[in-house]
Amino acid sequence: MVDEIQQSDTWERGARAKPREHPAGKAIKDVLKKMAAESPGCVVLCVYEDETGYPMCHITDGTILNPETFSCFMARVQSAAEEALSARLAGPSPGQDRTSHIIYVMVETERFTMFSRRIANCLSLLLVLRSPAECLGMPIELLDRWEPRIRELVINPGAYPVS
Amino acid sequence: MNLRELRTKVKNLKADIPGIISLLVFDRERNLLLYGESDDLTLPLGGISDCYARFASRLEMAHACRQSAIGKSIKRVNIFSGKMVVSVRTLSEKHMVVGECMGLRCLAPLNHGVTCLARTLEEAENG
Repeated sequence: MVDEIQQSDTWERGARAKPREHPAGKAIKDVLKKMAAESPGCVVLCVYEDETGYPMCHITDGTILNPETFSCFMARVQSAAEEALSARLAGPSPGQDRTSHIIYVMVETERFTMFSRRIANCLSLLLVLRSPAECLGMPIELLDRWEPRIRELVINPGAYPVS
Repeated sequence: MNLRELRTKVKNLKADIPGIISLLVFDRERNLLLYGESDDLTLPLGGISDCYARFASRLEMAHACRQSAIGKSIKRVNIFSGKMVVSVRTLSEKHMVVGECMGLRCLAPLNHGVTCLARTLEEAENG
C-alpha cells in the first residue's frame, strides 16, 4: 500500500512537471468552460488519461490548486469500480471493454462531489462540485449533454481546428 | 447491535426501498460480511461481498494520500452501470454498508436507506 501511495505521489509531481496539451486542447477547454458556466457549483472540469489520471485538459475556478489530485483519485476509483462491477456482474475481465458496464461513478466527501465518466477508450471526463451537490440530476444531465462533443474533439482533433 | 437487530433493520430497509437487489453490511476492520440480503441468484452473497470488499480497499488506498485536498472522509460512492446502481457508504470507521438497486429512480431511497443503516451502526458502536 505504501509503495502504491508513493508511486502515485511521484506520478502527481511528475504530472505537474511535464504539462502536455491535446491537439484539440483549446476547443476542449472551450467546451469545459461552457459546462462550468451551466454548473455554478463546479470547481474543476477535466479530461484525464485513465491509466495515469493525468489531467490532459482542465479548467478550475481557482479554488483548486492541484486538479491532478482529483483526476488521479478518480482514475483509481473508476478502475476499482469497473473491476468490482465486472466481477459482480460476471462480465469481462478488467481491461477488456472497460466502458461496457459503468455509466459513471460519483464520490461524495464532506468537501466535494466528483463525477467521472469514460468518454473514449483511454480518456475520462471529471466534474468536481462543491459539496453538497446542488442537484444530483443536473451534473449527470450536463455530462450526458456535452459528452458527445468532447468525445468528438478527443477522438478526432484534426477535424476541429483551433479558432 | 446484535445480529438479530441488524437483520431486522436490514429487512425493514429492504422492504422500504423499491427496486432494491441487495443490502450488505461489512465489518471493515475484519473484512467480514456481517449481514446481507440479496435477491440475486447469479452470485452468492459471499461473492457479492468480496467484490465490494476489494473495491473498498482500493478506494481507501486511492484516498489515503489525498485526504487534505479531497476531504478527510468519503461519505458515499455511487456506481451507475447499465444493469444496477450501487451505493457504498463508509460513514462508520468500522462498518461499511452497500446497497444495490435497479435504475436511477431508486437512487434517492437507496442512498437514504444505506445512510440510515450506516448511522444506526455508528450509533450502536458509540454507545
